Amino acid sequence: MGKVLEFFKTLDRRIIFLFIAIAVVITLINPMYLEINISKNARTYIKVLDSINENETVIVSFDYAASGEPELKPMAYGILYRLFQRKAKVIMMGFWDQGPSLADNTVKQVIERFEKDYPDRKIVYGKDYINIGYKAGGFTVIINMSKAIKEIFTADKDGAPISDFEIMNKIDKLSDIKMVFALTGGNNGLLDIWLPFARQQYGIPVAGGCTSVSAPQFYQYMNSGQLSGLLDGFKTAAELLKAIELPYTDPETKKPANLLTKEVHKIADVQSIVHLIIMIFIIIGNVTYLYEKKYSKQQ
Amino acid sequence: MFLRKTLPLLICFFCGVFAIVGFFSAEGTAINTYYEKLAKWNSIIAAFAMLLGVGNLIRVNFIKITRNHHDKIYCAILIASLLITATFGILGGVYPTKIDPANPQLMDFFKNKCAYIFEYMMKPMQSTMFSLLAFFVASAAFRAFRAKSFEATILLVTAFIVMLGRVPIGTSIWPGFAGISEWILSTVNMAGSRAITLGAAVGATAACLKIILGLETRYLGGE
Repeated sequence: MGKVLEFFKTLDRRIIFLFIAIAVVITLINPMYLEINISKNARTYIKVLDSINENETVIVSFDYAASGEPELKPMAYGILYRLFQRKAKVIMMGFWDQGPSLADNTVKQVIERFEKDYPDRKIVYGKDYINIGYKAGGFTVIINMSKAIKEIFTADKDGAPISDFEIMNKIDKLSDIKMVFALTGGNNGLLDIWLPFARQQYGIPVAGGCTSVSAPQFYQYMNSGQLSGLLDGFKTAAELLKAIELPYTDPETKKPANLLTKEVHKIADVQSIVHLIIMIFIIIGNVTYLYEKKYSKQQ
Repeated sequence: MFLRKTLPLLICFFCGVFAIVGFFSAEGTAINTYYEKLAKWNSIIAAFAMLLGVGNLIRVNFIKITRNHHDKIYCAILIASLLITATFGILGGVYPTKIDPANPQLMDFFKNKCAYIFEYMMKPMQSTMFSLLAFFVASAAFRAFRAKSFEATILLVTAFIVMLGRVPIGTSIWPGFAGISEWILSTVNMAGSRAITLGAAVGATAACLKIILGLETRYLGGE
């Protein structure tokens, strides 16, 4: 027993890394497609998205970098898709320099899928959505947007004057925006810019999305009603995608189709397996610790 | 002395007081209008701060290269990457409207190169760095997460429930995990998190007041 105890006590971390790597690869090759149930947070979010009516303008803020994309992109995908379903007008921007470029990639994929699902609808840049790019300055940008959006954002991401686009015709200031959807990968986003300034100072409803690791700090704002909705990590993003119904029946399940793809399922499975492995290692660590404690007492 | 200390302190005092009063003043009032102007200045300063950051990064790394520091190869890679990306980014960004609108091919060249760097270098590298967290968290949890006391045991049990409730496999084992996990996060965690936030906010307010009133001067450099 002593040898086993010693082995686990001095377990090389590379063995743990190897277990994680093998589990990830095996799950990706052979996914389990575990059932994803729609939680309260995802249901609330769908209601928030459905409160947006035709021709109402919203901001979707991409305040994250490539590192946060695996968790936040599915959220952005679901939000944009639902907004296009609702025939809302979408202004995309970012307080992170990489955000608007990531927004471009995401919206391209959403439009491709959307136009396949709705062949009679065409999503047009400048009419249905626009990318006004990145702006440095954090909360002061919000203060300036409260007076004149077109003064602080004079051109779109590619340098074209934003006044030339139809979508901006009826938009002068922040109060013309129905709601803000802020997807945040850390500081400089939802918590320190959109919530205290757009929501608190100017009264614009804000719904958020964040990575799992930063989620605990956002629940207090949900509870107080300052956040209209919260997608707290990849799991709720997958739930949101499942909750968005498409206008046709899934040929495999014979049920109404949704946005939850096999790829998203695979990632959810990988997350499940990695959580399990971490838990198993924690249990092993604790059994070793408790056994050692008992053994040393006996001696 | 006046330029190095008194003047910055005076600017800080007036801007700080002005920002606080402006924040709480009604829209349309003179002070609120100037407060919004001050916000515009802040945006400009933030843009210049970025330039300052880039300049400082180049300076620090250049010094390391000239002094034959053991990390000089990484410093050189950093400077080269910065300059190459910035060149493609700036030229691809300003070219269409500022230089020669009649030459779309050149614009596309710079834009495509910048997009290429972002898509095939920046994104995979950042994603890889973030993904490594899973490995390090697993290793750290194995070594540090021990039920050494009653409180640590409660923390451990709570962590297990939340970990299971946050992934589909948890609800496959027992559907109740999701509900309990949600309750822990939105009730127990929320209370603690709110207490920490309020405490930190009071602390930050005190620290800001010290800076505005000139009691804290370390941001000016020196002692």
